[in-house]
Amino acid sequence: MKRTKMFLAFMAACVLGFTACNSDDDLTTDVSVSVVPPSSVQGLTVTSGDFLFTNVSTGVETSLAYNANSLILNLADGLYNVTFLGEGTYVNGTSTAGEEVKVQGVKQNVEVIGGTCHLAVEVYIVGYEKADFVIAEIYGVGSYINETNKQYNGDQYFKIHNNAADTLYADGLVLLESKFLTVTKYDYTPNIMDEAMTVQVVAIVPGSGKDYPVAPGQSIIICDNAINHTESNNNSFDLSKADFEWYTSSSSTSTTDVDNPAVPNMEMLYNYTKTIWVLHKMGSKAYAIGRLGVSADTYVKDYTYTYTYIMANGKESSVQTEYKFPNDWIIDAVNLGAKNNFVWGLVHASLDMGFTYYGENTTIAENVGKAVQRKVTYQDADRVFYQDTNNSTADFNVGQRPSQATK
Amino acid sequence: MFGNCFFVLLLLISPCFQLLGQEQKEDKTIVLQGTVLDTQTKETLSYAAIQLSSENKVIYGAITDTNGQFKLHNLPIGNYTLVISYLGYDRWEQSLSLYKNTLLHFPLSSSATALNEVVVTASESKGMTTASTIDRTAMKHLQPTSFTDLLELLPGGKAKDPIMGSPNLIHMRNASSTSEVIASLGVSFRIDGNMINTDGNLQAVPGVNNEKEFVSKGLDMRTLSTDNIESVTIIRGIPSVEYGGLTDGLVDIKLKNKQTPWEGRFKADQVGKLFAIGKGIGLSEKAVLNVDLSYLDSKIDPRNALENYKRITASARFHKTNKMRKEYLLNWGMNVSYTGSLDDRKEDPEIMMREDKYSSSYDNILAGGNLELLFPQKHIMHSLKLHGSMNQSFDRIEQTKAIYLDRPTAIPNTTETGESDGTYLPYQYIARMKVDGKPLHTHLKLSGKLGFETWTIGHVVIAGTELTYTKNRGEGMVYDVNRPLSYTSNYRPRAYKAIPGKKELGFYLEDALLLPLGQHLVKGNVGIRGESLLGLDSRFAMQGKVYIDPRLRLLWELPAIKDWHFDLSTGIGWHTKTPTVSQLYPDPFYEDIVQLNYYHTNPEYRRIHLMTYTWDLTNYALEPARNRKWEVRLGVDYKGNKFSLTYFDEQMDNAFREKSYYTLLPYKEYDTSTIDHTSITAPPSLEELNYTEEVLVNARKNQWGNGSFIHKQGIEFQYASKRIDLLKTRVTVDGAWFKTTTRNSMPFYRQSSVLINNKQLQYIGLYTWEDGAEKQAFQTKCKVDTYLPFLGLTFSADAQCTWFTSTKPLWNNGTPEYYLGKDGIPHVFTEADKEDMYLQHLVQKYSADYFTQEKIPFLMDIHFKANKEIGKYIELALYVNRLLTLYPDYERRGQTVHREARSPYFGMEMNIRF
Repeated sequence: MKRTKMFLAFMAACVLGFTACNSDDDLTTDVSVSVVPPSSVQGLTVTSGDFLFTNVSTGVETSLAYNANSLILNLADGLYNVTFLGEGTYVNGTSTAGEEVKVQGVKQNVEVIGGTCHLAVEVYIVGYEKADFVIAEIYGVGSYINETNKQYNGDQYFKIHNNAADTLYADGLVLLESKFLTVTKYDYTPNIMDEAMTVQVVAIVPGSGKDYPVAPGQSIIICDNAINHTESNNNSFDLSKADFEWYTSSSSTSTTDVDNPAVPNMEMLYNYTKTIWVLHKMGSKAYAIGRLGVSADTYVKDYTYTYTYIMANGKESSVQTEYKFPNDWIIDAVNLGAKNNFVWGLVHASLDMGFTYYGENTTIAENVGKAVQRKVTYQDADRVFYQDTNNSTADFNVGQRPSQATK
Repeated sequence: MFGNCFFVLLLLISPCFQLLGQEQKEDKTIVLQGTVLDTQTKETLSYAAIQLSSENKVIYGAITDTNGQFKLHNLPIGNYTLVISYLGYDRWEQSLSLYKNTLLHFPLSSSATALNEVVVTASESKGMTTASTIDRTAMKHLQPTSFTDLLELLPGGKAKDPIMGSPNLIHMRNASSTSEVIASLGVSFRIDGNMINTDGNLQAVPGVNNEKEFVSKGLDMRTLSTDNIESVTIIRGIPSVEYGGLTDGLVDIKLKNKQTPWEGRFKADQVGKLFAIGKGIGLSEKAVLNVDLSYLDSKIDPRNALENYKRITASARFHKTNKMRKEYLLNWGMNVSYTGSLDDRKEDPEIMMREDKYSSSYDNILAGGNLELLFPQKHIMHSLKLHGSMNQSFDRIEQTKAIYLDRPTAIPNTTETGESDGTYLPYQYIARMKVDGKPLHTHLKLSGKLGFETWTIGHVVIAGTELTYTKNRGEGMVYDVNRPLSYTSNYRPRAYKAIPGKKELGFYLEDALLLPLGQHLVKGNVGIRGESLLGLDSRFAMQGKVYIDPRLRLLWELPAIKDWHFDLSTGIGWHTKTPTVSQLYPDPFYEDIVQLNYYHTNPEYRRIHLMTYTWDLTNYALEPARNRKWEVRLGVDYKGNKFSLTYFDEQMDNAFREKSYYTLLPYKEYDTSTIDHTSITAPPSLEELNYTEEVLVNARKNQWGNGSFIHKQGIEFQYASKRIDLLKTRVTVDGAWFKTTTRNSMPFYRQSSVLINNKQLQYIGLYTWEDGAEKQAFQTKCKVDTYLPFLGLTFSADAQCTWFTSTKPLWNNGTPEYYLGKDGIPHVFTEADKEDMYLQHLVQKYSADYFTQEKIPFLMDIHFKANKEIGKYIELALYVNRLLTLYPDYERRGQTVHREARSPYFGMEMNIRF
């Protein structure tokens, strides 16, 4: 009997224990915010703009108009992504008259907690770079197979567009895939994001320098398999006329990569896999294009990046080795991640401060057959110009029909 | 060691002194003879210590023989005090007046049964080896679904929720779950003496990882129902040499073999329903027929209706004792049993293809017979036993899958080394695969037992021989090679019946010695076992070899001090497990290298050309795995309160592991750039193409070898109190600390998976360091159970604590000792190579504290169980596991780790007798 009473008392204590710690959800914090131009840019003054605070867990958005004085906002405690879009004046070098410029900045995964905190968002001038190639479209989910409700993913491709006024050469253009995921964040140590992107694929357009000209306003298609995919899947399309295909020359039939002899292959300088390279099917990676700043051999030899991180179970990971691609060599980068799962960008905010997505959730049903496409700023008689503000949230249209689809 | 030898020598000599002393006794002497037996079971008790003290303090000592009898000669007439002590029994003390030759019986009551004991935990053995016995009462209280659940009762064991979706494999004395196949393969299962051998199991689709397969991993404990089990003895220590084919332990199951009423059981828990019925029919006074039937239907996950596991078992066992002339007895029995199980998985037609399904069924018929001749008591021969069994399984995996290809994929057309064109597969097809296995296992064993005395040393000698034969007569993988289930496979279909069988001969000789030394008693057990594989190909290193396992065990029982009994024991033994059929005769391996893959837009002009290599994965150097165990043990018994403590050390240098090797496979890389793709009118002809000669450099790890080193150390203990009369409560505390070190025992080759400059890395590394980890765990259970006979109620609370678990990787520098390129010549890997653009990828790097021990602290689960008899015929039982849990947060590298216990797991059952 005594045992029973003890037992009941213990149970009661446990129940009370559980209910006792359940009332801390109303805490708020006063956040003071400011904007800071990067140290490399002199003479930039922000004049106006808006901050947008997005609570990562609840999705609640709060905006705040910029003013030069004190900026304080009261927010519910939590994890936030903060973006700033605005205008400013820029005094370049010796000229005295300030030029009107657009500025933007972002800070992701900011912890708002503790009653008061301060937040400085680094801002950049939009379009303050030479027009070059841009990633105009990414198609990575694959097409729908009616019979299986599954995705067919031999037809993944990138569309790279010459957004400049002159003819550019695709020779040596590097296609990169991030090592990390935009939907899972770890503190990778050492953190090199300010100087380079961590990549698991470095694929290079072949050519000696002037073999593959791309006229202004023209695009090239780089795909996995440059074959007519309608042979296997009615919902897919013909990529046999693509400009380049990636081929990992897997020598084993167990995972044969296919090679259309009529379409040149990308030079696979580095790839994490020797079988077949398939783009992330849920679009949870970042992709970028760039140009190598050193010789290929030097790159392979010297640009490894070894890092560790604390895993979800609290244990430190073993040391991983991948390659790094300096930010200076990157021409354009795009963070991809399903809207409801995106956690962080994998490239420096000056390359892409936002992200875009095939669908809002990581479900095949929602994403299959969809591409992301860059918005057109304007179109004249013979060409289109794409919007490139280094903010893919603003620059891309989500969930688009792939441009290569013919029906 | 020398001390031990001296001690043994002393023991051997000392009886001689006693004999000399006895010769000077008075003429008028008498003899006291007696038999010591268990008051309840009437079984005679061998090795009981007899102490007879005369009034003038002369002490006479004796030990009962194997028939429970003792004889004290040359006793003067007079008054004596007789004390009989026997471990586990209440002390017998009696005053005697002896004036003539006397013959008496001494019924001792077991300390346990003294209070009509109900034991709901495992009982530690009292004998010479470390073992746990689990009887019917404990099983009733535990409410198991399959044999797996019983393992909770072992020291260091913990309650686990049933996992019915994958095979349940046994592990003993391991600090954590392990991927070493020997852990489960090295445990031998016997059911009523029938050896349950799984060496012929080949049910697998090679190259495809499937959690439902368990080739070369021993027995799937899901298939063992517990309902017809009378008792189970799990030997963790050194078993008698009578038992072979094991490295880690022995599970000896005794089925019900007595008259019982109809007994029915119905159990339901969160995932399954179980139904069982059985009866022991008394056909005559000496003949019993036991029949039983059980059915289990279990979901894998209660939310998923598409995947389940079903089991049916049925058995009939007949046993009879015939009295023959001159006090000879003949025990004989026959048994036949059936076990069927079905692992079923369908895909949800809403999500996947309607055709997709997987089922793995297993139908097993076991028939056995045994014949035992018991000799009259005085005979030197005690018994002769003949045992035979035949065990035929019909295993079948059937899988249907709709295949949709993402890219043009080709399959090779050849099964031999050489060049050939491959065939492109259609993009969509239905693949059907059947794996048909029919392993047959026969076992024949002949053994004899005899007893005699030399001086005052008693001997019981057993000798025997056994022959086992395993052969799989199945069709193997049957499928249309042009529509393969797994188009990425490196294997081709192979009929199991073409694979040779495995014949194994075992023989053994064991002497159980008894050395009484006054009030001390030393028992020794010296045995030797030989095992040999017969009919092997002469290329095998094992061919013609006999593997000898000596096993030695010693037990020293100290004289009882009042009711305190102490015993000390130690043992050392070697244990051998020969490889399974699948390890002896693996499937050949195929590597198809693409030399040309010309995928023209026009299907008419496409061509894929392959170089196929095939090689035999048979490892003729394969040796049996051999485990060396030693242990020391202390046992204390005070009026039915028992305590035991064991320290063990087991080491295996050559456990089975897939070993690594490298291949250099030359092939041609055809250059298609010379072809004019627009004007071509036929597939390209190879003669007109240029090619470069390439070599594919690979490290592989798929050949069975003796590459694992396993070192297990630990301390096991159990304290079991007597039932406290006032509270009707008994406390059992047991636990174990285990430390297991597992690593490779051979250097290994390793490749990198990266691709550089359009080519897979053309180098592989040879690593000589130890790749493994040292794991530790300390777990205890404290069970308090109360039995109220007047209510027919038993209930218990069991606090299962994991005090810590830890993992520490073995240190290594991550650098290869040598590297090999296309030329196959090993080069020393230098400091400079760490910076080389290619070779740097062969170096494994570690963070600063990678090699520090990672420790997870205390956690506790409290389980509750109860049985209640309702009237004479019905008994209800229920259990709630993890009714209460304690998983405190802890700090790791400055971060707080929060742990959540899984929600409680419960079940209930009803037992009916009629």
